[in-house]
Amino acid sequence: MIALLTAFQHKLILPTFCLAVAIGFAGYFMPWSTPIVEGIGFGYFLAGPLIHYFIYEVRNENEYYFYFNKGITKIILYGSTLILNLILGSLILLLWLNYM
Amino acid sequence: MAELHVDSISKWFGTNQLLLDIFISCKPGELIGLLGRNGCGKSTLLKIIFGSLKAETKFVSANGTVLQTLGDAKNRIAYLPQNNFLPSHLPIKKIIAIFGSPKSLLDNLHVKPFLNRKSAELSGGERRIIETLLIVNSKADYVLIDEPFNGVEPLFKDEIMNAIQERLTEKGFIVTDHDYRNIMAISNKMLLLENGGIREIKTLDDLVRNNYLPDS
Repeated sequence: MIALLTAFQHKLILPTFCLAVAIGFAGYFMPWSTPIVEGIGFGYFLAGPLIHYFIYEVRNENEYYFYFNKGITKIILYGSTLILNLILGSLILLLWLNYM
Repeated sequence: MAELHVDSISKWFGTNQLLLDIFISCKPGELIGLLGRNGCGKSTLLKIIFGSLKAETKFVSANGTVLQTLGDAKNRIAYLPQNNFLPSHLPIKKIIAIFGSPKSLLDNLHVKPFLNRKSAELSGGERRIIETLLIVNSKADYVLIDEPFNGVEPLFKDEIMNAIQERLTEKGFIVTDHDYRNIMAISNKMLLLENGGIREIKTLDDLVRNNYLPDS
């Protein structure tokens, strides 16, 4: 199960990171100007599910069947995305708060 | 009892009833060929049996265990969808390992040359034979295969047929394809899905009588 979830998430890591960084920079240039690192942390909460949706629901919907055949449902796959990005985003925010 | 029992499957799309109280029974050693015209609901039926698509009514059991969710089908029913499903970002060797396929697959003539290549780098036909071998050699007792010969060259077709025949003594298969000759060559029971219902086909004449083949 862990190997399958790792394989599933492998495809999302880089695009999620890129979108989270983009959200971080976008937040910095907004009128209320959020610090970039803080924006990246919050960005992960949003970027994870968005990238998951785009990569698997829009572009590679058929790949779900690879995981379905091993008994892994969409709920488990979305759950793994939410948990992973919640952890990554929270870690960045915690490190940032400690640094401050 | 060793049997895949499918009963009372009904599926509506809006106001159209696609499947009407479908019944299918498949035992290990049986290879059921499922024929039907475009849009008659063959793929929909297989997805409902597998559990990836909901139906208005459905009863599916495998070897006496009632299957209600996709998770219940694990190691009981395997499904090969119509389009390629291998993760495109992983090398074939890794895919075989995480799918839990037998190690003998690594030595297969049609798999070995591609072990270190990502599935996205393979042609549609090459991917098709690898994923068919993955599904046929899975731990599931019953295998649903949707158009395995789609885009596959004749040599690979024979390999797919052989792979299915090799596992036929221990598994039950339900296979769909648009080319009825492929289905007739490998199946020991044929069903025609038409107007939401299923009827058994014995001869080519039955296919003509049911407007699946032209009268000529």
